[in-house]
Amino acid sequence: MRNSHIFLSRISFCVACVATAQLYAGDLQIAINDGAGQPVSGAVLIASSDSPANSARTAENRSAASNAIMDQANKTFAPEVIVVRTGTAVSFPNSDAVAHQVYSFSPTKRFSLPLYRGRPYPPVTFDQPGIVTLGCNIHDFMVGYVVVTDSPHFLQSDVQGQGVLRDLAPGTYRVSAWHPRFAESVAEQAVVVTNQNATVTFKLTKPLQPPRKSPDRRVRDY
Amino acid sequence: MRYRINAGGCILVALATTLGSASAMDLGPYELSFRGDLRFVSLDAPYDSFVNDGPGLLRFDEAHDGLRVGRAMANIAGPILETIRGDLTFSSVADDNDYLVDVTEAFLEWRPYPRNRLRARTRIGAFYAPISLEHRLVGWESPYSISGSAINTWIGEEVRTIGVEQTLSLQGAPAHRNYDIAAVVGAYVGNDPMGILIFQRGWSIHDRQTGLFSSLPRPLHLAPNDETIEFFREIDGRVGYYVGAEYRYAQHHVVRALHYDNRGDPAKRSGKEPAWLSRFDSIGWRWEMDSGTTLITQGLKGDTSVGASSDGRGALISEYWSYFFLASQQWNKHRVTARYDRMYTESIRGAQFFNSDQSAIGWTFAYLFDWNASWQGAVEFLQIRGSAEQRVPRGVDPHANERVVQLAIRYAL
Repeated sequence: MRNSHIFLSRISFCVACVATAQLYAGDLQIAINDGAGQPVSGAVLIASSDSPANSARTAENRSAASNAIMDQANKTFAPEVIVVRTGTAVSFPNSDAVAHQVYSFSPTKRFSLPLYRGRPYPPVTFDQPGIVTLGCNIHDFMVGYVVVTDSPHFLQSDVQGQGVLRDLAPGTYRVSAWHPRFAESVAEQAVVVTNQNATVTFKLTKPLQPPRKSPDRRVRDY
Repeated sequence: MRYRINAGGCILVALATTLGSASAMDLGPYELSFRGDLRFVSLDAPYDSFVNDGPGLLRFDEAHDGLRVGRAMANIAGPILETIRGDLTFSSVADDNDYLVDVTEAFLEWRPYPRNRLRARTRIGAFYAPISLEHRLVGWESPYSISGSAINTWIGEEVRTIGVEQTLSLQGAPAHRNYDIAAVVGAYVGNDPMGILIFQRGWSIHDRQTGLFSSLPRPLHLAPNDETIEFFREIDGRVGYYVGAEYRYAQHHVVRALHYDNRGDPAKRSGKEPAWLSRFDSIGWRWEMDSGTTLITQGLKGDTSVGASSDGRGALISEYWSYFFLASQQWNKHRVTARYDRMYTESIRGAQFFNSDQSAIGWTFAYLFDWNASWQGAVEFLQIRGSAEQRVPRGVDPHANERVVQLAIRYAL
């Protein structure tokens, strides 16, 4: 009887904590522009917190990580960049009629997968945070990226170079920005999130590197 | 006007039927490709083609025009082991020389998974050296026009690596750099007659690739029973080599340079076939814009020699160079291409025995229309105008203006 009372008390406390966090949760609006003031779309924006509460949530996130898909279509990785939480299992289907051999030698995750149409392979679990560069051992021009993060708070900027992380618990966050075509290293920014909306703006000093040209599907360069 | 669907047409239909059936099967990791074309050829040229033992520089002549099969090609590529791939290309050029179907490339390629930014690729067999920036389609065909430039026409005629090639590339993407650089080295045998066409005929412009086992009529007959040239023969026992480098920027720009030396011994001969010492340097640049415009330019300069001499350089020496500018624009299903070729050869030793001086200009205009992924229509106007002293021993005017219009229906699988 006494144990069930303690249990119910703890449940009530947790519910109260969550309710309080929701009550005081804030939104973080992030914008990113290049050196010419043009919006940067597709940038990976991650907000991380070192608070103990956030660390606890990180462990929770790892166990809660879901699946993701990095396809190959028309001899390109589709999409070019995916962002996943640490522990996510990423599937690599092959939607092309031709074979691909996807590989990574990035320290974050090393693997190789010979992918033939109609022969599925088990997904690859990305169990360390970092940036994983993907290549195809048959088609050298294919390049893709898996960004692995411990934080549950991430997004990719839209065509206006903007995005909103919603319902962040109050606290101090480090916000990082990354894009495969950055021509410079971009420093993290610290921001305090309260129940008021917070804003972070990244202003690059240089334009992005030009995008790699997608090859004609018929091309098999000699 | 002539309507000649010779045995090549039968081969074309047979290949298409066979491969069409094969494509319906699950070939797993193997890629099967087929390309073939039926074309209408209209000539305005004074001479028979070199293909038919004439002094003309075009592939076709007025005795071989009308409705014809241009080329039929089948390629199969796929893994032998996980990191070793095989690549085999059969080709038919549907003319009267030797084999109706021949092999143009056959090689194994080893691509170990990279462990760092350095990636290695090894090829062994018979294949094209990395020279052309035009020939980008399976079967070493050009997406820009029917006929290749003078430089790469010659590569398709006389130059083939029968040996081994090692490429090392430094990949930019893993370091978030937008460029890749590569170095290549190749060693080969079986290319000792290389240079004979440049010397005895001069540069040409067409789309005919020489099969590994095929021959062509010899432009200059020096003895009875030597009417044909077998291009891929080993005569002097020396191993030739090439070294090259490539720079790619964001897949928009490619700069490619190569030094080629077959290390032939011009004093050696096998039967009636002498070895030719042929060397050249080539450099080219391709720029593909997001607007669909492609610009390509390439230059090649070299020399070739044959016959014993006291200094070992050869009794007859000819220098040759060529360059071209190509501009091509793609609009959805439409592509238009214009190319200017400059061709030049000069005898610098032994001109009193055989003058190999050629000076000519080529213009190519092409329009290609993709009906769908398999069918394409193409029309091309080609003109080669200039002089070729190589014609003089035949008793004809060295000056000529040779023009051809080709209207092709192409099928790809």
